[in-house]
Amino acid sequence: MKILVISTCKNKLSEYEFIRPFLKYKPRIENYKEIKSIKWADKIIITGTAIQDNDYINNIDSFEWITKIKKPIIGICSGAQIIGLVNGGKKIKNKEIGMVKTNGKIFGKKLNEVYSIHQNGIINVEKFEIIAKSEKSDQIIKHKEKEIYGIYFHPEVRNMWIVDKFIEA
Amino acid sequence: MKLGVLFSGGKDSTYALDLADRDENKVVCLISIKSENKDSYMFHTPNIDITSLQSESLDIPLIKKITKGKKETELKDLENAIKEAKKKYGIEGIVTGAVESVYQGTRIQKICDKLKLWCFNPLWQFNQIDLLNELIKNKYEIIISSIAAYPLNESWLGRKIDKKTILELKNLQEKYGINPAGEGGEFESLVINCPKFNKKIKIKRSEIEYKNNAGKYNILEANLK
Repeated sequence: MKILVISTCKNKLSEYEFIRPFLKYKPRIENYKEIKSIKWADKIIITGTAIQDNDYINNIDSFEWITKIKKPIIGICSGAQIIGLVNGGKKIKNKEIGMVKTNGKIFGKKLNEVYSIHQNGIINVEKFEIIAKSEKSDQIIKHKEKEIYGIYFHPEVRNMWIVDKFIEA
Repeated sequence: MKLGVLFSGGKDSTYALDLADRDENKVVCLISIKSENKDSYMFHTPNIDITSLQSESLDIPLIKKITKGKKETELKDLENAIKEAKKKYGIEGIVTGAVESVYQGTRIQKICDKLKLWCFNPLWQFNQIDLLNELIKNKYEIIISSIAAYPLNESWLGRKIDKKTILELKNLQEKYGINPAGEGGEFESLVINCPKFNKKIKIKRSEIEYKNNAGKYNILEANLK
């Protein structure tokens, strides 16, 4: 299995926090501004970044490739916002910091509490369904036809099984 | 980016500083909070005064504040210390040594968000045993400065963390569920030397306080060598 991890971090120091949890899959790691090729990858993880980092939103055109490929993708936090934005979603203010009670299912398993650190949410994402929600906001969206998931929280904290299942599936 | 490190002098905040002071970033100050509440959930308490010597050895200025350590006012005290660092040293971000504590991590993220500062947690979700091994590989000299969990006893106080210690902690993790990095408060540590230090901390006098699997290795006198 060949895994590509795409960093959305502007500052290199954030990469310890947002990339290290995925090193166990022995991926190739590339920053979104310097992606050489995607063709070789079987599955793609688009990482989160620091809550103060909005660089990826200012460079959203760099992610248009997401709408054109059929490979399984999981976007985490900023990665999920990117998936939502390139698929026609609208950015709204939605600050969440901490553990959030969530209802929904992914890969056949129920969610409970999730760890969120973000200031934006994305709504009205075309061709996607909402598969998990908290009282305040959407927590996971999934493409209706493709294996593309947007997870607005951080599964790296207490919910790493989600990414493990994505890699195994 | 100019950064301030929340610094206790223990292994996690020292290694976080080490990782942060690279590439496009520079650590321009350390921020230490001395809590009068020895059971603080937020702050490391043993030997916090040694941060002054560590700051001198690192050649990085230190902002040190005292808090009574009451649950919510200690956060206000931390916020005020960070505000001071922002004003005095122009920091744009905070670095923490948080590994797994959602309690600490969330609260610091909220303060940074309020003060419009970046928040970096370079050890976040690091496997605890891998972290200890990486510290030893990078020539960190670390001692255990307090313990608070069964079956840790007096013999652990002041003990240096080496490969043998890591193996023992791994066994205790399997048998008793002890967090081998001590982040659950099972033990706390003090860095006496590492590649970032210009001089080593030399402990001249110390004493041990111990009762029922809880204790402290108190440094009474130390200098830089």
